[in-house]
Amino acid sequence: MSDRLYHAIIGLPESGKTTFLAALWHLIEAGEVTTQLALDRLDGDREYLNKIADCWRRCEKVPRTSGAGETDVSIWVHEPATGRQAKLGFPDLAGESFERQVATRKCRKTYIDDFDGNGGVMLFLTADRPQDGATLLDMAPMWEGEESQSDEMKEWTPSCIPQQVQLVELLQFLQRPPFRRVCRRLAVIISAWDVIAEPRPSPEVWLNRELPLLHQFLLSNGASFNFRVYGVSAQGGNLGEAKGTLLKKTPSERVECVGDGVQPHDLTAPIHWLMEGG
Amino acid sequence: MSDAVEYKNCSKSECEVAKSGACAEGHQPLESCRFYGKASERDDSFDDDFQNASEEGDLDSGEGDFIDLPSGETLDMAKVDEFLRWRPIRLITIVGERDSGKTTLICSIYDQFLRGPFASYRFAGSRTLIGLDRRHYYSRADSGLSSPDTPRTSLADGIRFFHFAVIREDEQNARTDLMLSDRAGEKYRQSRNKTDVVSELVEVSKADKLVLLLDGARLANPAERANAFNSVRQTLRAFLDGGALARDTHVQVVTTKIDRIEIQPESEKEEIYRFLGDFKERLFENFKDRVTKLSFFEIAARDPDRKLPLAFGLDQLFTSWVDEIVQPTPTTGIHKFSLQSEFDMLLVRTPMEVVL
Repeated sequence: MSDRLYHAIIGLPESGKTTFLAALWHLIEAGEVTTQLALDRLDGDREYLNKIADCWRRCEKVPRTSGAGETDVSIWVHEPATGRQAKLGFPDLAGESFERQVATRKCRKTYIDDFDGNGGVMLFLTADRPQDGATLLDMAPMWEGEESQSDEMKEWTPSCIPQQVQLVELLQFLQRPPFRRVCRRLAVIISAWDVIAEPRPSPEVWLNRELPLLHQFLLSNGASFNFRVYGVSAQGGNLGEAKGTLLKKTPSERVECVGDGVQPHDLTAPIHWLMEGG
Repeated sequence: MSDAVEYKNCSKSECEVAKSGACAEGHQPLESCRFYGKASERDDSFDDDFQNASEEGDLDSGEGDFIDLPSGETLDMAKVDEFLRWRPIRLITIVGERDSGKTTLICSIYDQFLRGPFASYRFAGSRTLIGLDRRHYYSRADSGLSSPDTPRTSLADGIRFFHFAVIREDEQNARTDLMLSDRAGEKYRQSRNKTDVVSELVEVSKADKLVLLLDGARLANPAERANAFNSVRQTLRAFLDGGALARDTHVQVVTTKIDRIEIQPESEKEEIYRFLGDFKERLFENFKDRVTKLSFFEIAARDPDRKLPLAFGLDQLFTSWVDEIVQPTPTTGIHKFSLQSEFDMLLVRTPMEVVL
């Protein structure tokens, strides 16, 4: 049905999907702040969702979803003004299936089916991750004066592929059969936005600076991806130093979402933007 | 080497690396050989099948609930031809002796795009991202190496291609697809000695740009210099004499590892550049009537001493591949073909309206 959209969530392990889901679940259920979307219902493991939302409310680190406990969760939301409905699918919160796609060059048929409709994509990546892919020549000035490291070559494996290259591969898959070729809205969600030092650049400027291959790819593939970049701090700050301060706030007001025309706490804004394209 | 070192098996039956520690293909490090560590021929054929099955229009169902996706590895000629049915390409054929820097040059372009737009072009995609990353890895800190390396291209690999799709930074839609060839230098050495080998080099006859690498490290060595010049001259001659090179192919002579010349004492450096200048002049004089366009470039893809910037001179070379429009030489008349079979004659008998 044209007014029911399925939006897929993509992200490598530890890219912030679970924390986003925990905060989103609380946000749309509690109604503490104004959001552009309202909750309809949930498909999937409510116990699991409540568990991660409990952790999130206590300002505890939301436990990382393990591959063994891979949890498929779908949330139905609607836009109050128009009544339009959308299903937000988190097919693999652990993110390991995405990593496996790049490594094994295989995906499940159901994953392909998820992209058959006119829905959009949320692509998760985290700002709280050491930079990978640095070359020996990049590192040389830092190692100057130190004893040269011994040659203990580690064999290349798919896990050596830099994050931005893996993400480009995941998006390139969507451009070719067996996926349906269509222009999709793509919301890039940069999680752990609070770790970025002030003055913070705009999310897109940050993406250009930190993951330039991915940014170039998105700019160059307007026929496949109509993209926007959002910075999201689903926890609202550092759970070590700032925990006391965070706990004093209304939980939904801890959430920070940065992007064009976004209300500061509205995590549903990227999803709402995806719905506009359907 | 300690007795305790255990080598892995090789899937090539003639290679005794498991016993001797020496790769039959000469790969060093051993892990850079695609056959090393594979238990049997069966494993390797699976790899090939996997790749063959995974390109455009050739996607099969995998096991059970899984679907195969494109491999992301380098492309063979058949895959490039398949790609051509979808989009036009610029075929850049890179020719050079062993260790002249063919793969390093390609990896350096990948390296530049990992950092941002390069030579006023943005990265728009690649069918061979995995192949690129697999080779680029040995220049990265996480490889565990102490100095950058590039795995050698094996003779057994045949001809392979790396793909880059790029778009000018100031444009939205003018995408160019480059296919950069990579083949073991040994094959090109053979082609200088045997004319029949030249005809096997499909990448030469199809090239839009023929890039002949002149090894700057060898120019810096007086004992190697003349042979390095000779290698380029003879290769070009062999390709022309063997009829492999189209008249309208642009020939580019690229001096690699220019950093190895730059570190020489001033007087030696001057001498090397004088030799290089003389060589260019003579090459131009000798081939100006046989080659439509001959140009020269100097690059340092990866100066280990960091005296020259990363990818020094590579931007100009890259721009020449994408910017310069390759105009085919106009034909002097309509090519006549004979119609012999009954099927051919059907064409003549069938009334047709021709729109020109």
